[in-house]
This record gives sequence, structure tokens and C-alpha cells, in this order.
Amino acid sequence: MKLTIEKVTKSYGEKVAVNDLSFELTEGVYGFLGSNGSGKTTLMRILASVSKPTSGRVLFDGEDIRTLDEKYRDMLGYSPQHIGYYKNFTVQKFMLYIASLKGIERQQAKQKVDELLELVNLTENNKVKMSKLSGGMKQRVGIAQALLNDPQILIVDEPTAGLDPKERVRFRNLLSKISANRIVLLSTHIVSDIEFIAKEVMILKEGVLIQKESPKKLLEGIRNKVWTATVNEEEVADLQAHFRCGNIAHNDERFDIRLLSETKPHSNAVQTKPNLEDLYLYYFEEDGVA
Amino acid sequence: MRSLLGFELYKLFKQKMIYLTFIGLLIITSSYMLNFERPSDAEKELYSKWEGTLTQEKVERSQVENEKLNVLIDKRVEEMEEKGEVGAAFSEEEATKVGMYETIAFIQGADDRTALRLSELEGEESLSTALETSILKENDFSYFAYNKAPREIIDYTSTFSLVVTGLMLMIGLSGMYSREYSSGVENYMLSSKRGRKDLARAKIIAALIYTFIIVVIGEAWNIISKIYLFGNEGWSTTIQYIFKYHFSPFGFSMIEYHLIQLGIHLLAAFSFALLILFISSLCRNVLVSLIVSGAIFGVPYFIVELVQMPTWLREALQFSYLYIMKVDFLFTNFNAINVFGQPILYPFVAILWMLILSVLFAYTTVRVMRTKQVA
Amino acid sequence: MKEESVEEEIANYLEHYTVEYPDDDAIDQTIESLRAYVPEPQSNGAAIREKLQGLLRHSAREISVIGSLFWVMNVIFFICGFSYVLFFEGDPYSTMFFLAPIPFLIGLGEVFKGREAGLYEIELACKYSAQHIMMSRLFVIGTYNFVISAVLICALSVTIENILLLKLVGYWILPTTLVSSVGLFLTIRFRSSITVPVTLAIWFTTSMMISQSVDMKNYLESLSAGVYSIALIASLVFLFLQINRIKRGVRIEAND
Repeated sequence: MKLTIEKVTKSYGEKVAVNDLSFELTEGVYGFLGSNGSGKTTLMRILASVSKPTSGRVLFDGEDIRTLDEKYRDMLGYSPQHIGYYKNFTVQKFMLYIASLKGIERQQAKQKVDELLELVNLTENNKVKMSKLSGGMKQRVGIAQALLNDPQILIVDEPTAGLDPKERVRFRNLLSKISANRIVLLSTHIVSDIEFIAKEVMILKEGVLIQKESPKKLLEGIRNKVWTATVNEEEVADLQAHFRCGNIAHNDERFDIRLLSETKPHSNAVQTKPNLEDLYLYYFEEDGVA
Repeated sequence: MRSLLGFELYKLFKQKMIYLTFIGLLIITSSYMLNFERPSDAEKELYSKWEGTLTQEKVERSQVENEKLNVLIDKRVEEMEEKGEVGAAFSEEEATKVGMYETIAFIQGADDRTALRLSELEGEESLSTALETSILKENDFSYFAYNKAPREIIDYTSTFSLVVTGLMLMIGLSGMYSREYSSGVENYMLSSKRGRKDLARAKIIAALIYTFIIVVIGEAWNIISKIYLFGNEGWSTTIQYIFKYHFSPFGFSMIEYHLIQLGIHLLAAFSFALLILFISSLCRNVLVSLIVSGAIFGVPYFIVELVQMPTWLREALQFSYLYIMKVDFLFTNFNAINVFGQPILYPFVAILWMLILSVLFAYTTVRVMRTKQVA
Repeated sequence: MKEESVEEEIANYLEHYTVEYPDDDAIDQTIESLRAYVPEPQSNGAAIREKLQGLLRHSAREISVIGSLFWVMNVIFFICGFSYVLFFEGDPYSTMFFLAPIPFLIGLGEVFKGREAGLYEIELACKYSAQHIMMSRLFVIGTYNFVISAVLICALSVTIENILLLKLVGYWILPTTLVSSVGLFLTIRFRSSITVPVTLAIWFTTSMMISQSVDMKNYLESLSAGVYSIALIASLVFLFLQINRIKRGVRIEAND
């Protein structure tokens, strides 16, 4: 199973949202990292076939997804960033509706809906109206509906926005559980979501793919650039002005600060093991440096 | 497919406001019925005495009786004027009688005119002569009966029921796609297997079912209310008893005409429903979708009624949804269009035209949805 | 050894400890009971002036939020109405009667735009709450309705000979207040994407029936000033009740 993105460009008038992207995806979880406006959502929409590229094409096992049409959508599960819904539908009814959109037989659909609501822990809420759900619950319905047709390709846009930490952990486990034999695409700007489950992390910036590597490889690239230091308050301000800084934590009267630098930034700074948060900082926060 | 249709119908009929509006519109458009009086027993009895085929003898007798009555009334008026009295110069019963005699004379006029027109046509040699002659020859207006109920029913269908149907279609169907876009459900639709072509088909069928139900309920209300007021007589009399159709060459009985009228009304309603659905598939905003459909429905009417224009343009504009739903102009006069030397009657042209538009918009809606993108 | 197991137990306990979130009702209750302690604004005079100024300021801001469709469409309607009277000898009174409440009805969609777009919660939480925003938008569309009607009345009274100004005003005010209040009443309770079309349709049909029926027209003409005033006052009261309801906050989710 292979999803090929071939020279895909999408522009809205003057604005180019996705610029000449080419890459390939196979089974496994892919994490899209990118700040707002990086083209993440546009790319995901194109892959979800709800939007068409201005030029270029997307191939599934060598065939254009536009020719595959229904066949492609039959293999697809898509959870958009904003979960749309009908206010007066109950959770169960809404799921059944999506199931009918996906062409699942009525009897089978009922069973599948129960199964998935169980999976996302909403069984008790199945008679609740969609409008009465909390943000996190809606998000979980969004994920559940995407799985209704056992999709080969699962696309989830910002699935963890609005989830509380507990739910996020549950979601992550869920995702790694179902990711076998599927292409899973996941966009997020919460790095820890994908740190351990992503086969590859893709970093998009201004519509261009700047990295596509396994998390391990990516981290290697910044191995000698992450430092921690314990400093006083004035020094914090000084460091913030000159370096990309991550976490700052109180340590008695002083502060523990985590920062990125090619060279040793402070006399008592020590090198430390990089994580994906640092990576994100590395790629997206350079504008913050004075 | 069946479950998709089920959901579409569910979404349509779950809107409580639809019911309130429908009832409201039916009541408002029927408010004029408050002025109606039910026929008295005497009136019904009088009519039933004359009911049946109008023979030459009967027509003449009615003329004589009418003459007598008029002389009597005129005399009374003179007397009253001399005495300086005011008030009615004739009794209720006499008024009813005069009304009835006049109706007989009125329908006799239609008969005479048909004969005249037939003789005129004999000398003419145009494409549609043969057609018109064959239609006129069929005519037989001689059956007479009390027919207030069918007359009112036919009148309502070509006036207020088109307002009710038109508005109900716009209100119910304008949001069919627009609401999917504004609620964000389009994302699921467009990315799922059945959410494009099949869903479009399901929506088309749902819209047609909705239209059918609206027209049937409107019709039921129309029939029941009028029959309750005026009874169920007169369906076999011809439409020439209705002033609007007095000059019509078509000698349909009331029941025949009403069924034809209802059929064409329904067909135009179906076609309009498909247009609304098509517009909805293009508009993200329900109100915009509604206004565009409303304009396409209503603007031809105002143009035709208000603006001076050449006859051909006026006739052409009448082949718009509203007028075809109104039906009457297709039957009030003899009108045909020449197609490759073959005269085709307006009603057939209208039916054909509505079918073409229906297929066109249904097809285009499916096409639009096949390639639709989220905004 | 022992310490470790205690630690483990605590860790275990904490692992499974869930923070119970209060449900919506409890939050509402808390807010309601706290409301009593919110200081009352000072004296009336200054407070009212302040409120009015605030309303005007918000309204000015909201003008840009209201879609151009609303402005343009109503102008077109009124121009059509004016040309109908001027060039096609339409009856100025029925035309005024029909057009009077239309801008308000169309505008209702704009007033409740936030609620329908799911922005209501955000608006509620902002410094200028949803109530503020809706009030200001109501104010804007109300004013617009007033202005555009007034312009039409002036235009008609200047161009049409022998027009009875008072009668024209009469044909304007009552439908505006009556229909607006009913429209508002419905829109508070149902989704505006359905109530706006519905009220427009009902209004269209009603005014069509009235203009067709000589009896109805005569009846309206013969209405005494007293009856007219009572109807006017009743509809004004009803309108203010609806506005007040918005001021208190529309908590009902569109339950259609």
C-alpha cells in the first residue's frame, strides 16, 4: 500500500498554501508538524479528497485518486479539524448517518457504531444530542466516525485539540493500536502526541516540506544543540532575547531554562538529550530570536 | 441508498417550523373563504330541478323565465323609485334564479361561439387549423349542474396553492445542501464513498417526496374545505362555466381539468424543487439560496404583470416555473407552437419543458457534487 | 522497601484519581448565585448615558461585521418598491406595508449569526458578551430599517401627488413592530436559517392576501385610531419583551 503525492500545489488566488510537494507514504503513522498556516490542513484536505490540487496529483498504489473516486473514498477515514454535526442528532444517530454515507449496511452499521463508541468511551452518551457534547467528546466522535469503514487510510486533522491530557493519552494508545496495516496521517502542533508512535515526522513550513524523517533521525540532527542551564531572573531575559528558549521552570530562587544553541550559551549550561518539543522549537520559533 | 434517503427525509421532516409554516400558509391563503356562504336548501333544490343536459327546450324556457323575472324586477324598481323607497327590489330566491338563468345563458354563449369558430376555421388554411378543429369538435357544454365547489377548487389551485407550494418548497429545500456546508458536515460527505453521487441522488428523491407530500396535503385541504362548504356536485360540468376558461377551446369537465391541472402543477413543482436543490448545492448561505430561488420563481411574474412587452416575449416568459405551476394560461386559449411543421399545444410544450429542466438540474446537481470541494 | 510500596500505592492512587468536573448546571448555578454579589451600577442617569454610549460604540463596530448582502439587498428591495409605485402606479400604502418589516426580518439572520456559527460560546466569554453583541446588532438593523423606511416615505411623499403622509406612516409602523417582534420571538427559539425564510414567507403571503382582498383593505382603513394604538402598543410591548429576553441572555440552543 502506497500513497504518492506528486508535485502537488494548491493555491487560493495569489496565496500558495501548498507548494510543489512530492513524497510517499506507506503503512504506519505519520505525524505532520507545522504551525498555523503551514499548509497542513490544506494538504490533509487534498489527501481526504475534499479539495483538489491546483496542479499535481495524488496516487494510491499508482492510480490517481480522482480516477479511483468512490473506491478511494471507500478506503478513507477523515476527521476534519472542525467537527461538523447536526445539533438535533444524537451521537448514535449521527454515527449511523455517517455510516450510511460510507455505504455500510444498516445492521452492520449498528454493530460497528456500538463498537466504536465503546472504543472512544462514549457508549453512555450515545443518546445525547451532539450539541450537548463537550469539545473533547465531539473530537472523539470525529475520530470514531472516521474509523467506521475500517479505513486503509486514516486522516486526522488536529485530533487532540480540545482533549484533556487523559483523553490525549487514550487517543494516542488507540491510534497506535489501530495503526497496523494502515496509513495514518495525523496533524498536530502538540509534539508529544506523535513522539512515540510516529514512524516518520513531516515538518511543513509555508507550504513546503522541510523534513520527513523518523523521530530518531530528526532528533539526531539537533543532538548537540539542546542545553539546560540554571540561571537568575535577569539572565533569563537575556537568554530569551538571544536564543530559542523552551521550558522555563522555577528552581528555588533561580530558573531552569531549556534552550537551543549551536554553541554553549551560558557558563553553567549543560548539553541534554533533545526531544520533539525542541525540534518544533528549532523549526518554528526562529522568528522569535532577536 | 435506502438509508441515505431515510436520513434525508428525516432531516427534512424533523424541522418543526415546516409544519407551523405550512399550517400558517394554508390558513392565511384560505382566509378569503370566511366570506363564503353555504348554498341554501332552496338554491340547491332549484339547481337540482335544472340539473342535466341542457336541451334546446330547456335553454329557451330559461330565457323566457329570465325575461319575465327581469320585467318584474324592473317594474318593482320603478315603483320603489316613485315611492322613494330604498332596499332590495328582489328576493333572495329571485336573485338565485336570475343567477342561474344567466349561467345557462353564459354557457350557451360558449356553445354558440364554438360553432362560430368552427365555421371560421373551415375557411382557414393554417398549420394548426386541423388541430383546433378537432379539439373544438369534441366540445359538449350541455351538462348543467350546481358546481360551486369544483369551480372554487380549480381557482385555488391556480392562485393560492401555487404560492403555498412555491414557498414551502423554498423554505424546505433551500437549505438542503447549504446547511451541510454551513454546519461543516460537508467534510464527511465529500470524503465518504456514498457522500457525493449517491447522496445527491438520495437528496433528489427526498426533495421529490417532500414536494409530493406538500402538494397532496395542499390539495386535500383545498378539496375538503370546499366540499365541506359547497357539496360535491358539478364535477361533470365543463370548465367553460368558470369565467377564466370561458373562451377555452378545451371542453374538459371540471374533474378532468382539475386532474390535469394538478398533474401539471405537481410536475412544475417537482421541477422547481430540483432547481432549488441545484441552487442550494452552489450556495453556502441558506438565505442566499432562498433569495435566488425566490427571484427565479417570482421575478417573471412581476415582469409579465408590470412591464409592457411584445407578445412573443410575454408568452415566452410565461413558460417559467410560476406560470406553469399556475397552469391556467396553457388552457385559456388555443395556443400551439410549430415544431418542424407540427403544431404542438402549449400544455404539451410546458410538460416537455419542465421535464427537460428537471432532468437538466438533477443531472447538473449530481455533477456538481461529484467535483465539489470544501471552501 | 516499605517506603517504596507506599510510594507505589500513592502513585497508583494518583494514577486512577480523576478530577470530577462540575457539570454545566452546577457552573450555571454558581454563576447565578455569584451574580447577586456583582456590584450594581451606580446612579441611573449616568449609568444610562454610559450604557447608551457603549451601545453606540459597539454598534459602530458591528456594522462592519454585518454582511454586505444585508445592506445591498434591502436597498434593492426598497428601490424596487419605489419604482413600483412611481412607474407602475402601484399602491404606495400596500407597498409600504409590505416592505416595512423586511429589513428587520432579513437582518435577524445577522443578529444570530454567532449563535449559529457556534461562536456563541466564544462571544459569551468575551469582554463584550454575546448579549452585548446581539443588542448592538439589533440596534444596527433596527436603525437601518428605520432609516431606509423613512427615506422611502420621504421619497414617496415628494414624488406622489396627494399622498396622505399620516396614512403612509400608519402603514409603516404597525407592520414593522408587529412582524419584527414575532420574527424575534421565533428566532430566539429556533435556528435563524429557518425562521428568517419562514417569517418572510408568512409575511409575503399575508400582505399578498390583504392587498388582494378589498374587504381586508377596507377593514384596515376603517380601523379607528384607538384600535390602531392598542395594537401598536401591544406589539411594542411584545417587541420589548423579546429584546429584554436577549438582554438577559439567550440560553436556548436552537432546538429545532
